[in-house]
Amino acid sequence: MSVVTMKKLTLVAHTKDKRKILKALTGLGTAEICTASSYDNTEKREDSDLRSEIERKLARLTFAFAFLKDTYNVMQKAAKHEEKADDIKELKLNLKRENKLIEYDDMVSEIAENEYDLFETVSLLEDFNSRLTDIKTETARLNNLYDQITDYLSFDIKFSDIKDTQRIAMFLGLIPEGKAQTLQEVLPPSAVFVHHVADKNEAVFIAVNKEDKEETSKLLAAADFARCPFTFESTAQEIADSTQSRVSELVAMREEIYKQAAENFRYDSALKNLYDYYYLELAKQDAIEKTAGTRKAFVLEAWVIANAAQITASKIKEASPTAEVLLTDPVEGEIVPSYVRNNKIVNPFGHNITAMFGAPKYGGLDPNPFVAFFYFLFFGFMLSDAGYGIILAVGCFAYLFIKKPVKNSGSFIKMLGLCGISTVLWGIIFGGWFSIESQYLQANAAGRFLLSLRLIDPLSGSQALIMFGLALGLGVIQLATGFFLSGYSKLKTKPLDGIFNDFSWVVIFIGLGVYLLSMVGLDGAALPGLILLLAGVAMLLLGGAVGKKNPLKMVGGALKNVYGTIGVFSDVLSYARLFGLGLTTGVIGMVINKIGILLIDMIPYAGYLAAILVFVVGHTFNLFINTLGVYVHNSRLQYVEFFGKFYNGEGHAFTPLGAKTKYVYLTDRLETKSNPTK
Amino acid sequence: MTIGTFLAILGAALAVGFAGVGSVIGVGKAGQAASGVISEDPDKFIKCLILELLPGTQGLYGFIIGFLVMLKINVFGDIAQLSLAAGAGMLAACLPMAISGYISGIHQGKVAASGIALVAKKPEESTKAIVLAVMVETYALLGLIISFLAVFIPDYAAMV
Repeated sequence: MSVVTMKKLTLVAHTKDKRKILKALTGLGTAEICTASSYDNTEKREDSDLRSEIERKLARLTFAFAFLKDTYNVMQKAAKHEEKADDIKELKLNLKRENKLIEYDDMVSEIAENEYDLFETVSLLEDFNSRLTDIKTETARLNNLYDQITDYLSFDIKFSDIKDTQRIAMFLGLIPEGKAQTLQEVLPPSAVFVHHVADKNEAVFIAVNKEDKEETSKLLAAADFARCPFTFESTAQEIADSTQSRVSELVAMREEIYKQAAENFRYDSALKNLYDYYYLELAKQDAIEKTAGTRKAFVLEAWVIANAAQITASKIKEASPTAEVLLTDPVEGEIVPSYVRNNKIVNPFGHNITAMFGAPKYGGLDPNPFVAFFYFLFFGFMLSDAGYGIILAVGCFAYLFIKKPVKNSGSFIKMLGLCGISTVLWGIIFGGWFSIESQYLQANAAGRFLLSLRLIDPLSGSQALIMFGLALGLGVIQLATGFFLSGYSKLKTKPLDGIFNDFSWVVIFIGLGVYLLSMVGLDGAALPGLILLLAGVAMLLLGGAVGKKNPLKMVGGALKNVYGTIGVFSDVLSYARLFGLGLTTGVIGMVINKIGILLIDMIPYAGYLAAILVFVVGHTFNLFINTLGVYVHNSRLQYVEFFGKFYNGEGHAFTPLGAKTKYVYLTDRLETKSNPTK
Repeated sequence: MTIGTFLAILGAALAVGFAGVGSVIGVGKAGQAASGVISEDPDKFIKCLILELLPGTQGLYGFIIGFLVMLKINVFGDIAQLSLAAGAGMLAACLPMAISGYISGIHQGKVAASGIALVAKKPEESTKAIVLAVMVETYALLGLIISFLAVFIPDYAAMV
């Protein structure tokens, strides 16, 4: 239960073995490559060609995923539109991360086998995509043409026929709606005027004697006449028909392409594998750029966790028998990554709460066991309903049992499940069973039994205050723990500071606790409590003076510590949220129950159905919104109030080569127990 | 109904109404930001939704206070006839929730909206955005607790 010891691994090997060694390291997943020291005559080289090649492949695969997803959406929409339930079932595309653990070696051999075919598939998809783009452009062009040509549908004449003859000038075009009448009135007497109302405009055809042409032109210009741009050798109707038939042809082509693209859904998992393969190649490339090399040999430096150091070294030897491997302890001043190892109960909290804040420093204190304890404790207090707790615990553990998430992917669910247990315990204490009011619980034996387990009733006047006090009390315990840990970690470096500035608070809190015992009947506790309290305050005042020589500064420091008590006081009050959120769940649940019962009373028979609906939907909502609220407020208490005392998460989390993948999980040897050479 | 009872109901109305409006504005702001992000990447829906929901709790807190007032004066049955002082006291008890809910809802909405912008750029840091938004909510919670205690503990019906 701690931050694990690290070893530095330095290896010198032939350049030709570089890839083999990196492959072995990726498969092991136990080493984080760090930048190698600069030795004489070595240099660090970047291979930007190889890098951009890998990046290009990743980009192509990303495109393929996006295209397949589009295809899936299009196909599903089409199938739904035609109400073909079977077709929807047949469509299967899984682009989510897969819950499977694979060996890196298996991945590599699989990729070697089908990489070519897979990239062929990707090119096929790229081809589909460009064809779809062409179809899209053409469809847009045709639709545009169709829109324009429909204005002239009522003229049953080829566009090419409308041109001036020897004596007659002809005009075809559009004028704004409503101007036809006035135009007709001013036209020269020789004019033949035909007009049809088109969409938003009026289509007009005018034939005049040639000598009137110029005058007509002017009149038309004044009426905002737009000459028809078409010179097709066919009528508007014919063009419209051919456009439409071409568009429907294109639609069919589009459907066909999507259908063909959908056949590639079956490669989804192989493509995801391929993506991760290249994703790891990129990580390897990063690692290579951190090594230093001459032409023939290279130096690689990495951090490995101590108990996997031997197996890592022996695997490297296997990959490259001529390699020299050196394992050393970290030297002071080096930034060592930290890897935290805890038991199965603490781990989920560490992964989801502490890791989100920041990793502990190497050699520093691991806060996870404490975080796990307090997070567990507070969660139930805030959710405070045993019924909800049972749902949460059963639901989460059932999910874990059925799905069996690999590696750490299920740790959040596991944490929620554990918190569900805490909720059941606190729910029993507060008598919260789906917020059913005690008068209804009283009605039957089971309910009476549950009520007899209740220690505090949050909704009965004075007991609400007890709950409030309990919330603050739990807060004081966490704060005291925080101060204690802070003092403890200072003992080696700055013992006086730790004792007077941090332990003093522990003493104050204990004194306060003992003193309060006297209020609940333990008469003898008052005096020792008071003494402890005062001793703590005295320590705190002295603490301000620690490490200062100037007497004025000593007084200043003491005053600063006095001022600091305000901060601690507000920290304690911050735990009032335990009480507030605890009530929220209960009261909203009660409202839901009241509405349900009201429905039963108001509507005969059908009321029961409506009430059940209200109960199910209402309590689901309440459980969801409160679990969310509890999750975030609980995290805040850990981050701000608790960590604020002793932990800054400034460490660098251990991220070994091969740990980061997007679609599959790789097995690693991080937790190997066997240690062949020891 | 006495003026006192009216004042108590007015208190409930203020708590529910103001805290609700605060949440409406806050959730609305966050929702607008969320739609923008989701239009770019629909997969971020859940993360955005969680952030959008955060300023919604003020409305719930206000609702709780309103409900407790109604419970206390027994609106669902034989309604209590409060004295003027008792009613005014209940109204005053509702104010912390009404005020803190209204203002913190708006501001939490702003923080949530920028948190959603954070999610757009770095989805893996969404928890930090949540924690930042929760900081604002603390004060609504404090309002809730004071209003709760002030509504729930005194025996208003017995006041003259």
